[in-house]
Amino acid sequence: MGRPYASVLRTFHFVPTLLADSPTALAAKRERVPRELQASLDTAALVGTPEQVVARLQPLVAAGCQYFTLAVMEPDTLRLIAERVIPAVAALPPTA
Amino acid sequence: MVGNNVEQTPSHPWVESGRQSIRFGVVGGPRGDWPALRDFAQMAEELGFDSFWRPDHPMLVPDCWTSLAALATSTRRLRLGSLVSCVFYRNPVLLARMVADVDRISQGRVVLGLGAGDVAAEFEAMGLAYPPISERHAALAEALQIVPRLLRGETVEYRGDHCRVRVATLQPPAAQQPHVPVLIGGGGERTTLRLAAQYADASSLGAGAWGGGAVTEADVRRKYAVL
Repeated sequence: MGRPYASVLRTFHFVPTLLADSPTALAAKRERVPRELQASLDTAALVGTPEQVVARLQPLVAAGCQYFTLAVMEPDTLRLIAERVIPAVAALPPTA
Repeated sequence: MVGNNVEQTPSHPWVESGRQSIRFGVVGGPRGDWPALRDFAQMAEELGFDSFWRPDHPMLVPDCWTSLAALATSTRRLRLGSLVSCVFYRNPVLLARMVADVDRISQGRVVLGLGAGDVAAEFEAMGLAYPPISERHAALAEALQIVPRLLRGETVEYRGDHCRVRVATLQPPAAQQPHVPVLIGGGGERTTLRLAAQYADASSLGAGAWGGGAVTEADVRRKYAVL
């Protein structure tokens, strides 16, 4: 298209995003997801412990993703992302 | 016909920052009443997220642009965006007016996410025709030739198959310099990624149908290569 590749920000979107410290807590959160988003849980969602979520984001970062937009519905998930995912993603090795 | 010229301006600073670090934005927030949404967005701001986005699904959640306007007055730093605003739900001149107003209220923090719409039941509930995807993409392409120009303060006259503007100028236009960044939702390799490459500051992929079905790392690499 005649413009530099880097002039378009590459974002990736997950709906919904659910994090919890344990599988049990995660299962409880899954049940509270609104009906119209239930179908996304196994496709477009980002669900897991902070460690699992970082492992899910890593290959996307490697593929060139620069920005994640996460559909978050509750404060606990928000805090886990801020405290345990964002720093871990920032520490991933830089990509070309 | 104006609008096919490729952007010649340098990258938007918000895009340029993407070279330095991986950033995170929050979409949606809690269902329920306004105070819960306001508190959640303020919490996201305090926790260091870069942006807060509202979906445009008026039959599921409160209005996208109205809630962004309210968030503009109750946050200070977060970028505020639509993810994504459906081009069929508002006349493009009215949409540009609303985007410019939220940009001014927020002192230049808006990102305009635009998409072609993909929830047939919602179109039906609102009494809107739900044309095939090729026509919806054509309408998105037309809106992309209208809304960003209005936001910059240009006078727009446009006759398309889907959008018509007799003659319109926003007074005042958007506040943000060099311009309100535009994000295009969708990972279609024939159409939406090409529209993103032609008109947008940002592209939004996802594993769902709305995001082009980018499920694996290889999918994402291929789509970014198309872009």
